[in-house]
Amino acid sequence: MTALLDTPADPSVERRRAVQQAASSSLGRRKLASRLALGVCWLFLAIAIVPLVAIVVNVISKGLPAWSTDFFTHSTTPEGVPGGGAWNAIVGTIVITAIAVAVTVPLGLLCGLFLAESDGRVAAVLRFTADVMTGIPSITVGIFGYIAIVQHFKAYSGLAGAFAIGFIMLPVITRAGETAFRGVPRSLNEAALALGARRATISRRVVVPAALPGVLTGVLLAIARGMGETAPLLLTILGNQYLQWNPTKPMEALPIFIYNGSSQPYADQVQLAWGAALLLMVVVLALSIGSRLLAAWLRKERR
Amino acid sequence: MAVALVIGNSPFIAHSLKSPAATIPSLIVNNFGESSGLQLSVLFAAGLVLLVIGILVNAAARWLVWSAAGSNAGAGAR
Repeated sequence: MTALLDTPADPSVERRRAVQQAASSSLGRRKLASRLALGVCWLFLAIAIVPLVAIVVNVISKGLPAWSTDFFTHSTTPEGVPGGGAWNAIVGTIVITAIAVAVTVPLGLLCGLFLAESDGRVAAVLRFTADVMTGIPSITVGIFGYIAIVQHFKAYSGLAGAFAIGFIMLPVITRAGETAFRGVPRSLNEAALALGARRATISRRVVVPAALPGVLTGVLLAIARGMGETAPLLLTILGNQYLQWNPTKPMEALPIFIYNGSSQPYADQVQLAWGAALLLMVVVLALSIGSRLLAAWLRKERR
Repeated sequence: MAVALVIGNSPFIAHSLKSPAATIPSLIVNNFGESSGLQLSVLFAAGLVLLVIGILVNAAARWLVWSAAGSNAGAGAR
């Protein structure tokens, strides 16, 4: 302390000293409170993680015994016939997801680009629509698919399933795309404008490449989301115990396979359902973890 | 929907939390296969009820966001 600061006439110095004294006298109590609060946070984090760990451990321990070469190469067999597998469900999930992705990714990303570039009335309506679509219960999407496609064409089909799954994926991709495109720094846009680029060129050559990591993450997460949906598929693809590559015919899919198999009274069918549950879980986890790793790697690569 | 595997799917109103019951999705999923005609329409009507509930909850959530965002609504509502 200098002599100047010690002058009692200065009220601000007085006040500062009083605050300092109060702070140091309560330091121990505040540190304790901080530790306690942090401890409670850790506790609740642990409680929140318990279900996740329980599900993963349970599905692995019950599903792994079902994994055999038959599981990945053979279709469902009638009860009592050994050697049944989930190949028909795997094929169905691959075909249906591929069709849904092929339609919704371009559409969703273009919508996202529009939302990121435009702030007008149309964009507001579109944004609200995407939000409402995200909130629609998946069983309602299934009913919509049933009425719009199945009843109209008088046939259950993988295409109807892809339509319903796409309906669920579309708003997720749109909003993820918007977030990614919006995250592109304004200065990049302005630099391109200063060079005389048109808006279309800027979108194509500047915004889209810069937003690629975020876009990829969003698309992979949407695929993971769509793959696991059961309700829309139950009402649109019907299920099929035979191998079916043709999407205009009724198909099987992993969620249907799990749902039907788990409610069977036969131990080997339930076992196959556990195996399918493990497969679906592994694929979905790989997609969500992989998308993050890919995005991180792409960002590092660019620097 | 995942509830359908565990809720017991009772067609009666449960008077205890510990007895089997049903939810709208479980009702639709369980009866869809054997329904036709008017019965199918009943299931679709149940789906409509669910949809209306869902939209109301979503609208309430958006209204909360808008009202909380206040003057800078443009940034908050996004």
